[in-house]
Amino acid sequence: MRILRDVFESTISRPGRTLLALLAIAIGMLSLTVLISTLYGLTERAEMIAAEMGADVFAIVADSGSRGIQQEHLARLRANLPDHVFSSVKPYTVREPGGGESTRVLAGDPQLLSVRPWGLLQGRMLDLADLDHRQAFCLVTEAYSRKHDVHLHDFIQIHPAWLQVVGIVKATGSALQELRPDLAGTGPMVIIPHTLAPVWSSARYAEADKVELVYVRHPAGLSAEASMKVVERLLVPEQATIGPVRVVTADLLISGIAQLQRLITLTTGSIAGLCLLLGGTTLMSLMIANVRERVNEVGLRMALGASRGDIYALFMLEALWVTLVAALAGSSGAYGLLVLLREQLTFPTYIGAEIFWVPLGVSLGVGLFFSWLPARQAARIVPAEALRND
Amino acid sequence: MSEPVLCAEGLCKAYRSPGGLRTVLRDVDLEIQAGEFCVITGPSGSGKTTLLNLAALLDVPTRGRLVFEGETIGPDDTRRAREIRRDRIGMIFQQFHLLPQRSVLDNVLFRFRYLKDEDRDRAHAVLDELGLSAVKHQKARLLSGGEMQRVAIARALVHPPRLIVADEPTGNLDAATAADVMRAMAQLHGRGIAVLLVTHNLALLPYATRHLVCEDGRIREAVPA
Ligand SMILES: Nc1ncnc2c1ncn2[C@@H]1O[C@H](COP(=O)(O)OP(=O)(O)O)[C@@H](O)[C@H]1O
Ligand SMILES: [Mg+2]
Repeated sequence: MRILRDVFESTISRPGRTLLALLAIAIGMLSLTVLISTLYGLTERAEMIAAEMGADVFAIVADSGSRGIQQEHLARLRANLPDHVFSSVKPYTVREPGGGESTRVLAGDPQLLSVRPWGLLQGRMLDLADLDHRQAFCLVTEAYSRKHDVHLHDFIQIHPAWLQVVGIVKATGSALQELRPDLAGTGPMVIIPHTLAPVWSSARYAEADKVELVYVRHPAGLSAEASMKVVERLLVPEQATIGPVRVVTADLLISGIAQLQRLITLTTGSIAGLCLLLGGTTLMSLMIANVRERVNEVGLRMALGASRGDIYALFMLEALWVTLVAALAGSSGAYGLLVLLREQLTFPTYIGAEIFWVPLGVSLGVGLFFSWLPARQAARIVPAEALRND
Repeated sequence: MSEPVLCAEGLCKAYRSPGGLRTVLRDVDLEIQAGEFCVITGPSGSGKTTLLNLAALLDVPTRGRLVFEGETIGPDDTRRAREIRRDRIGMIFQQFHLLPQRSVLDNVLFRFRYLKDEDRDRAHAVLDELGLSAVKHQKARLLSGGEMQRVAIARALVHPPRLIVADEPTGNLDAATAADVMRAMAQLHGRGIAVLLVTHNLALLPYATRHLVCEDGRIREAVPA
């Protein structure tokens, strides 16, 4: 296509102004790309959280009451709602004497694996007998096993007790890691029967039966809201000692993310929008000057048989050329930055085809929008007048 | 007699101007045959350029009829006029109107939207014929005035056309170069191309086969001296 060559020759014949417009649009495209990458990253994380929490799972937390939720409350819930699965967890941090390493310990129960999307890699889950007999058994996470080179049936010392590893679990996903590390379980961690826990909490023996967090898996037929209501109602008689109960659902965590997304859209979005507007208007003034300089050429083209459509195409393609190059430069720059800084960034990012496609599409729109008026100006040139000998 | 290349009947052209309509061409009849080299002279402002623009289908008359090779082109037939302009008319201007940054060859091929090998071959042939072989790949802005106008002639000849309109093509050239250019144009009617040329330079008249005078918007045959 000869028109593409015409377009190319014309843009490189005015490098200064072309570069200016290109730069502004490229910066806009860069921020747009970062924006898209972040929004996609956050959406992806929200989806992971939903998956990690499980569609039918929510958690209840009572962290400000005098006694909190106790094992006895859990027993009542289990008795009243046999179609629900309840699992209690209570995290501890156990420090080795002499200021050694600290280990995350999760006091749990056999139901844990039915409420968390964790899989058993080796061995077995803790069972009721372990709980009843306060067996010195434990599960370790894959991360723990790798970190400390611990295998099935090995003994590990969680000061002061020795525990035998009866299973290794793998926690999938890490979406919750930063948001709620207590719910994540991806790091090195040891899971023990909750009946063993008082060994470490002897100082606060009274709190031994206090549960930090209860996971609830409700039957698929019931909505999360309905299930939450039933559970809360069963806890009402004890409300005074339990304290206010907080419910953590995937939706709640996700709505936090959605809020973050709105904030980022607003800030990065306005930067991108301003840059694109600036670039677009620079482009438009470039194109208007361009048209003014090329009145003769346009007249000649028309005299030689070019249609108005051809003239529109000529100038709009020229603008598109600039915006497409800018989009490519901007999103490539953003891509480079994202890849380089991925580890340092505190927010999740997404890297995929979209971070190129969307800016390309936007650049198409910006190019067409800001070149339409100059192109129309060019197409309205009257060749007989443009070519007059004056 | 064969069908004329261009036939104009009762052409009128008026321009809107601050003082109302201004009639520039009044009732012009004109017939140009293939192979004719028709020179139009006349005072400045008499309407010569206006007439050429109408003849080249670049402008539409206020009144009157234009027939190009037997086909009537009405004021609304812009698409058809464009096609005829593209395929069968060549235009030459006083200011050459070349694209200065492009090569000579590019300028000659400028009219083609899609380039075929035969177009390229014809462009080379025309450039050779006009003595421009050595500068084919030079940028147009580096040429002399005479060379520029010969490039413009090559551009007007390449498709090849049935009619060439030239508006004071030697106006920016010195006498010797003007004579060169005119010799190049004079060869055209031998190939059956009709030429309609406006000039102030009466020294060019010997090249013409016909001489028209434009005065106050009217055209008449010049009385041979
Ligand atoms: N677009 C226009 N609008 C108004 N007047 C015009 C326009 N074009 C030409 N004219 C007028 O028409 C007259 C004839 O112009 P032109 O055909 O260029 O004469 P010539 O070529 O013989 O010098 C001039 O007076 C000129 O001012
Ligand atoms: Mg004139």
